[in-house]
Amino acid sequence: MENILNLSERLNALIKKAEQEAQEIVSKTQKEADESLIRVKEESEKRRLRAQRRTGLDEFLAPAEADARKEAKKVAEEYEKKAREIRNTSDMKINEAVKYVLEEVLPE
Amino acid sequence: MSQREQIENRLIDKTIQQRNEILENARVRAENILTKAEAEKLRIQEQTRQAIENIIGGEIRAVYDRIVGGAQLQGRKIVMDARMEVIEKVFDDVQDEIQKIVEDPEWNKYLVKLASESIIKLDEDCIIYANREDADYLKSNMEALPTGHKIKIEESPTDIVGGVTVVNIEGTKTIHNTLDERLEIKKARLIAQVADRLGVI
Repeated sequence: MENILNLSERLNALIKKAEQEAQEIVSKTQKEADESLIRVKEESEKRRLRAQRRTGLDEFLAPAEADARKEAKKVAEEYEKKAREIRNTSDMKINEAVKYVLEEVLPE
Repeated sequence: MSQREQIENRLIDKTIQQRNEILENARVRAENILTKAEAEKLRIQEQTRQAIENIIGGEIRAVYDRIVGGAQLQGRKIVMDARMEVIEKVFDDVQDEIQKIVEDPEWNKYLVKLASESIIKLDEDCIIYANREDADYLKSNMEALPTGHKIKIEESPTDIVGGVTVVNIEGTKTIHNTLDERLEIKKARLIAQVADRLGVI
């Protein structure tokens, strides 16, 4: 009987230790998360203030510029495609247009 | 195994299971904390991004307009150049065709029409100037021209190709009626129509 009681105490101690360990895991994670959020908030606030004071605008404009360059590349490609299509106008269409102009120019 | 040992073993198993559950729950709670923190971080960053965009939106739009607007302008020019290239090709081909028409035996039919058109438009006594060959043809085919006015036909002192120049007797009114002239006069209007026909607008 005594043996079982001893064992029970040891097992209870194990559970208590596990609970402590669990509490530590949660507390440590919560602390890390809180600190991380504080850092993000501070950094965000600093960024907002820098933007408000217009200091180091490049930091904010560089991503916008990169996006704009991507968009500009797309735009240029679309226009170049359109220009290629125009240059590839079929001979048949050109001949029809020539015929039309001649009809307009020649006396009736 | 004795009954006592069995009880002990069950107790140990149950305790270990309980311990594992406690630790697993803690890990799940920790994971939730991190997930929530990550979501909050993203929310703060997005909120900041929007706030910054509101503050320096003008500058950002200026960057966009400068770069994308520049590309659009350049692109439109490239397309416009291509369009003009194709349209010019049409007019070059027309010029070649006009040359062929002038050298064709059928040309005299058009020559008479051009001269007649000009006489009717001027509607008074006049002199028709043409190159030597065309003047000779008109002289020998006067009956094909409109009647009602005195008409003189003369070789032009300047080189006229593909038509006639008609001047009234007083020399105060002149009509240049050559195919080139007609093309030139109508070209501005025809450019738009040609572009439409080619489907390059």
